[in-house]
Amino acid sequence: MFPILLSVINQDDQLYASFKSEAEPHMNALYNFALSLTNQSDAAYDLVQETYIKAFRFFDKFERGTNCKAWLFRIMKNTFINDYRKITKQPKKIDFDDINNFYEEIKASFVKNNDLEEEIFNNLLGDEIIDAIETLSEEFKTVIVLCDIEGFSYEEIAEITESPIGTIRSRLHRARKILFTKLYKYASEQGYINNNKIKEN
Amino acid sequence: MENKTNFEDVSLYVDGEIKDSKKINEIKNKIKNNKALKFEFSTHSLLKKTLKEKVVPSELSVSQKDELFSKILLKDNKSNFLSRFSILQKKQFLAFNTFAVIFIAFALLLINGPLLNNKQKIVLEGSQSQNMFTQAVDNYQSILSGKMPIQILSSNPQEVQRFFKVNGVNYPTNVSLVDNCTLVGGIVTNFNGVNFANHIYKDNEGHYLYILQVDENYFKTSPKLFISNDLYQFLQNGNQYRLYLGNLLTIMTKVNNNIFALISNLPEEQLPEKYQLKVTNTFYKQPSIY
Repeated sequence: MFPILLSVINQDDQLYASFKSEAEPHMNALYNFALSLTNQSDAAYDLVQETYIKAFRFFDKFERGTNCKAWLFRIMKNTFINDYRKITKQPKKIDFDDINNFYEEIKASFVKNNDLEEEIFNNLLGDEIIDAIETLSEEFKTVIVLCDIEGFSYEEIAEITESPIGTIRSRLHRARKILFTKLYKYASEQGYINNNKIKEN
Repeated sequence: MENKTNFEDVSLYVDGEIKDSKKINEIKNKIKNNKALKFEFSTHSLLKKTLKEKVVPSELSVSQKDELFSKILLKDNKSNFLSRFSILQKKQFLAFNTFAVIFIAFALLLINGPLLNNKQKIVLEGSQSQNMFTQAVDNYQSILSGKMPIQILSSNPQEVQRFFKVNGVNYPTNVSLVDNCTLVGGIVTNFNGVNFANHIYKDNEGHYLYILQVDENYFKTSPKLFISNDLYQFLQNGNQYRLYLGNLLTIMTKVNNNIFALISNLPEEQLPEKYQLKVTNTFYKQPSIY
């Protein structure tokens, strides 16, 4: 009995050690993604835990040498959809016409003055930006976090979200437009920007 | 439509998704000559740069990570580890073997136990399930038969100790490295509402060393799990109690403030070389006990 058991323990020991060395370096990134999806630290921690439990359960099917980070993110995304989405408070729907109108005003000012006032975002704090990201819908939030914060390529994002690459491209473009406008508007309300600049046009 | 494509091309360019140099130059020219595209490029670049610079990622603490990895094994009831153990359990001859070992062990214990290795006669009361010694033997058998799954697989003593602490073991535990052996992991068992620390080592030749450790103060307050007063006093005096149960060597000893029950299937004469517990952090009061 003991030799059989020894080999069982050896195999599982190795599997666990291998899982830990592959998966542990991505834990903070996954936690941040979970925070952006759930907007709550406790729920985010639980989501990370569920993700890792599932990942370990299927780790023997994970193809070594492939992208472990993207694989973990996909598991998290699916776990969120299946188990957490219903209990997570969704942000208010945004009015695209409002966004578009404001964006066009900024654009008109830029075209006229040939100046975006790049310093406008200098006064923004990290928390204010995170708050703005939280107000995005899940699909926009996901592409922004995966591309601009985690640095995934379009192909990887398409794999994680199981969406066509063309969808990712247009979704990302739209998400940035919305986020930029929200931040610009916020900066303007906080007095970080010369309010008159847009009105003057 | 063409505008939309151009705008999305700007996104692609900003994100470094375009690899073809001809296409890159084409987009650069368009951005240069078209104010709307230039605006698009500026907003996307600025936003990307701002997110990169200003958003500080949150981090899980080391203890949160450890706790999470511990829970992975606790919650993963369908893991390969456990399912492979349950395959072993289903084999009848193994069940018979286990039964035979336990039966012979307890027969030896009852007949010869107290007189085998110790000059002083000790009342062991080994047949009672509340006895720590009997509990340790039961646990050892249960672990090797797969009935008691190892809850944390780790060769790191500190990690196993943290696991004990996080999972309700309310006394300081001692887990150290053992020469020529690997720490396999730990288990928290519950006996009448109190949690106890168990850990196990293995070597490459099919030998195991299992340890159940209990805070000595626990035995002072009418405990549900007990050792006899004689044995308690014997260990308090710096002695060590050894006994063979079939092919299992069992040792009761005191380490720091804990009473240890060690069970191993290693021949006693190999124990000094194989299981020389390292005396790190003054864990062991009596380094020469082996």
